[in-house]
This record gives sequence, C-alpha cells and structure tokens, in this order.
Amino acid sequence: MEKKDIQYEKLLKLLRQPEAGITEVDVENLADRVMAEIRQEKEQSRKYSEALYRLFYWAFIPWMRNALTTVMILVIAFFMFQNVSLDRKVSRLESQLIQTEYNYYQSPYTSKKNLMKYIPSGSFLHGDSVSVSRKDLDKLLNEYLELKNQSPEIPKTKNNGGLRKLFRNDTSKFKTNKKYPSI
Amino acid sequence: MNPVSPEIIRKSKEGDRLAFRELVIRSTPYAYSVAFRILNDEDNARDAVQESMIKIWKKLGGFHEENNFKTWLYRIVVHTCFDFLRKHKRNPEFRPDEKLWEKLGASLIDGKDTRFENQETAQVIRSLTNKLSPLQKAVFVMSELMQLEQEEIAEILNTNKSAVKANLYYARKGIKTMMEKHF
Repeated sequence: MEKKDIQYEKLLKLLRQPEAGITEVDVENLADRVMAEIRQEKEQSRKYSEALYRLFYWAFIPWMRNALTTVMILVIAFFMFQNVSLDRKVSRLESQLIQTEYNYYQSPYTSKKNLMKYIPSGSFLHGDSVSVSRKDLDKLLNEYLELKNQSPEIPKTKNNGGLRKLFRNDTSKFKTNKKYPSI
Repeated sequence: MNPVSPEIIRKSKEGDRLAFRELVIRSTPYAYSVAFRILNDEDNARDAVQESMIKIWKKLGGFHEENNFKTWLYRIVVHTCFDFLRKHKRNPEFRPDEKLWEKLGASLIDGKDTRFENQETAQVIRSLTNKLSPLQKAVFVMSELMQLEQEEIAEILNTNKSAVKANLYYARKGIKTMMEKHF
C-alpha cells in the first residue's frame, strides 16, 4: 500500500469518528418547526380554498351551471350565425363590384379584403383604380340619358357613344375584378 | 437510534400528525448526519433537514411501504442538499484554518491520536472536497464516511452502480491530490 493510500485510510478513520450528531433538544426544536410549518401550510391552503370557493361558489349551484352552459351555447350559436351571415353579405357585395380603372394596378390584398375597406369608407380608391358598383353605374347612365333628353344640345362625343353602347348592349362584359377599357 | 417502525409510517401516511412528529424525531439524526457531511455547515444542515421533512410529509402518500424508508429518506435529503449546494456555490478561494491543517497533518503523518469536533470535521471535509462536484461529494460521503453499499447509493442518487463507482474513483483521486498538495 502506498504512503498516500495509508494517509487516505487514516483520514477516513478520523472523519468517521465523530458521528455527525445533533442534540435531542435540537431534534425536538426541529420537529416543532417542521410541524409548525406544516400547520401553516395547511392553514394557507385552507384559506386559499376558501377564497376560491367564495369567488366561484356559484359554479357549484346546479341550476346556475346549467343556465350558464345554455347561455354559452347560445352565444356560440349567435356568433356562428353572425359569421355565416356576414360572409354571405360580403360575397354578395363582392359580386356587385365592378372595377373600372386606368393603368390597372394589382393590389396585394385579396378582393375580399379590398371590399372590407370599401364598405366602411363608402368608396374605394387604390392607386390609379376606381371601383364603383353596377347600381351606381346604372344610376349614372340613367342620369346622363335624362340630362341628354332634357338638353339635346349636348354634343355627342366619341366617349358618350361608347358609354351607352358599353352599358346597354354589352353588359355581359362586366364581371368582378376584370380589366376594362377606360370609359 | 430508534428505527422508524412501519406502524409510524402507516399512521403518518394517513395524516396522523403526532405519528409524523415521532417519525421526524426518529429520522432526523440519520438525515442530519448525511446533510451535515454534504453541506459542512450546521445551520445549513438543519435547514436542509427541515426542508426535507416537509417534503417527506407532502410525498409520504407516494411512498410504498415495501421499500426501504431509510433509503427513501436519504434520497430526499441528498437531493435537498444538492439544491442547497446549487444555491450556495462552491467557493474556489476557500482556505482551511492553518491550525486545523496542522492538527490533521500531525495525525496523518506523525500518527498522533486526534479527535475532531463536528465543526472541525466539517472544515476538513469542505477543504478536501472543495474541488469535487456535488455528486462526487455525495458519493464520497455516503460511500467512504457513512459506509453505505454502492447499490444503496445508486438507489439514493437515482443512478447505476457503475456511475457510483466512477464518481467514487474521481472523488478519491481529487481528495488524494489535495492531500498530496498539503502534506
């Protein structure tokens, strides 16, 4: 056995000798502290449970629980109905849109997003494009024809003739988001 | 030392606080012995034991009576001590008391019959194991000072026997290097 091994064995014997001890008084004190802490934790947990019960005691009343469940189902149903309804409205409005534009600019948004912008603002202008509904175009044309009947002296221009032709004889050309020649 | 009887464990599991107090009183000396040798500080060891006992109260429901209570207790205490060691990181500048070092040298080299007090033992262990990892230190304490079987140590540390052997090898090597350096 080498010298350092002998020294190591001696060291172990020395360190094993005093049984790392704790006095009986210390043990009693420690036990008291442990029990006090356990009691305190139990008390805290009881207070927490009480507070939770006071906050949510209504959840333990059966009729209240059933009523709230019913209300929740109704709210979800209403939300779904609203969603479907809005979607339909949006689709209908979108189908009514006609875009007439100069220097057509491709928007990065989808047509539905464009429409959502159009609805609250009452008009939609994006870059060099102008968007108007078929109804508005019809109204404009009617007003123009009415004005023309009342004032026959308005000279016929190339464009005016083109307009009438375009809206009276060839309405099938108007489709949503399709590029048309300028009026 | 009175062993903890299965009756006390059973009653404590059922929530009997008096039985649990008895369990704390009977198991504290074991717990303190390992905690003191790992932490090398009486106050920290007491705090670690107290914390371990509270953990035992909380986890006692999951303890299977066919298992060894002492091993289970050691496992909780050792892991609590690891938490303490993590909180109070090792001080690389730690220097042992010169008088104590001389006393140790006299005993190891000259063969003088020496006995250490608790605090002195703590200082010697701390200075010799200062460079070891917490796991190596725990293995050294349990294997060399408390003389537990390697299988039991492996169970306490949730590891296998070969890992215990490896850690013990490095712990011994580290301590021998420290001894060579100082004596």
